[in-house]
Amino acid sequence: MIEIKQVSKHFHLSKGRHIKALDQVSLEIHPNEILGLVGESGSGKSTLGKVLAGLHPKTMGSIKYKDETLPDNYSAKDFLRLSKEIQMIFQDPYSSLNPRMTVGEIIGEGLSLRKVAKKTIQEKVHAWLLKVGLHPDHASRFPHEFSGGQRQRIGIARALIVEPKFVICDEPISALDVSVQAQVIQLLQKLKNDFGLTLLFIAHDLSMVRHISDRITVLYLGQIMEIGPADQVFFHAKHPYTQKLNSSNPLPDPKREREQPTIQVDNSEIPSPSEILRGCPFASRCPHVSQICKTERPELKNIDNNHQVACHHLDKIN
Amino acid sequence: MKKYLLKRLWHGIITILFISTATFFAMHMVPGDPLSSEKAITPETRKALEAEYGIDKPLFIQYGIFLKKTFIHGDLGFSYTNRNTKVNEIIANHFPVSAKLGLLAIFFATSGAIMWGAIAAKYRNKLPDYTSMVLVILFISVPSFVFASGAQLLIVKLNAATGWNLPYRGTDSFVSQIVPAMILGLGTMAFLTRIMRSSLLEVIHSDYIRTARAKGLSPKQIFFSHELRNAVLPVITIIGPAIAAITTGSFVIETIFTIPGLGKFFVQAVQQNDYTVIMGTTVFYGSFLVLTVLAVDIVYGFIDPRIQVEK
Repeated sequence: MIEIKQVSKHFHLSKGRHIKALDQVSLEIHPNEILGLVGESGSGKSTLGKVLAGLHPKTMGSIKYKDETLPDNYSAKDFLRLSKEIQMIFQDPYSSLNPRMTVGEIIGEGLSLRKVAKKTIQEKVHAWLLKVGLHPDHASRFPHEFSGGQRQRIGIARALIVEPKFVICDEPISALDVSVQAQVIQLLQKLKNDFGLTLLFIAHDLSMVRHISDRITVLYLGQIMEIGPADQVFFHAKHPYTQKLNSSNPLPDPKREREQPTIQVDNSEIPSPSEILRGCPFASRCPHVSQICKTERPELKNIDNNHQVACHHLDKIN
Repeated sequence: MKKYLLKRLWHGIITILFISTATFFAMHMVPGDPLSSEKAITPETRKALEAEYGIDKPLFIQYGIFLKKTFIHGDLGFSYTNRNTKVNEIIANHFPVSAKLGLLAIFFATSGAIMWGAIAAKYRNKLPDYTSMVLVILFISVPSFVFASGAQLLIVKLNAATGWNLPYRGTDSFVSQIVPAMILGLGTMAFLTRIMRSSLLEVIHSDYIRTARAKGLSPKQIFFSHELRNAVLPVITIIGPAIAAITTGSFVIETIFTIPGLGKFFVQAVQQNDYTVIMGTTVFYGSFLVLTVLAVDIVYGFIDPRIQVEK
């Protein structure tokens, strides 16, 4: 469905320095799957999502959607065409809806700019409000009259009304209460099944990602550390970074939590992506670090079918 | 809504009372009185005149009479310097002239400010932005009589050189008001341009603009239906007081272009201690200001759904 090859995204800072938000990321997203994308803040998750949606031009690499190679820098025409195929649900349901437009206008705008008849738009808006668990009467209200969960539903309806095939969910639940998170996740799963969507699900809550995803990709400093089936990555993580991520996720059972082996890593902050990195990005915090990690960048290696890890010391660790 | 309006009007009345009280006593503290500019006046005549105008009475009695006449009968009294002319008539005759010019000026100021502000924000830190910033400082800091007389000179020279007959003064035609209106609105335009620029910059970087891009809207569609609509709000806030200030007339512009507006009465009245005209124009200006600000607040509720006028 989507083929990402060696995609990099650099942000330029002053004085010629730049940040490598994405560093040669290669990834394939299969039709009808939910691919989870995890990583801590600053790992490049949202950047990858925005590059895929055309909101950031990419610096290098190529992205293929179906059989089409996507342009580096979207023109207005590209947006009009591709936003019908690829849509994005945004992180913050409060700021991402225009406060001066009614909910009906927000949801229907994607259709009205494609010259759909007014009546059809109205019908579709009402239908979508029902699909996301709101009421058709809500179309004439304004975003500030809704709660966070409701606003995220509006965001979902506005993304899906153009019937895209591929949807990027950029931390769609991180701004919501836990009980509301579950509702939104269930809604997304249901819509995915009803419409045969392909989803890229970006989050930092590992257990939520495992719950929803078919496969999980772990991103660190703009590079892929591990990618594989959700349960494999969650229960049999091979990369020391993924292991650390998993073990830092508290278990709801205190007994099991105490027995959970803690993995010693340097708990310092994630290094700044503006530093020029040679070798493995995780080298500065990894407990198994050796000389080669600091000089040579590890390739993604197959450890069994479709589980890949980028680490020099796979055999030693596991 | 009705309750809200009544409350706001009540507050407005208190404001106006406060303004007129302060002006009344400040005015009487200024040395001299309306009669001191009269030529060679005998003590007897002066006494008679003082009695006629009622300024021989104690100050508080005068104040009481003023309040009663103004706020109960709506009568602002006779002017001291223009005998036989009522202040009410002065306002009724000259305010419409100023208001017409002022509204035209406001139109130029807001449309110009929205355009320039948008250009400056779109080309942030590039040449158009710097150019507009320099012009803004120029328009705010250079006094309006410089631009007014400069523009007038230009028109006269242009007429002489080309044989055209462009109007450079008076209010005979609509065309003759265009140049004065533009110059009258210049300072306001410059100020609003800055506000529009910063407000638009804030909107451009907000998340819902990103949402609009994700929907597939072209930059032009985003600008007109998302950015402009949100950015114009702070501009409207300033327009209320600006309308009150500009439509009540400008002494300088009206004098230079010989426009018989209200502007000169504000200045002349103070120069000549014309008590009734000072009080009349003050009360009028205060009420007008209160009303325009109230009108803007009501318009606000329509433009921005987040701001709800109390039910």
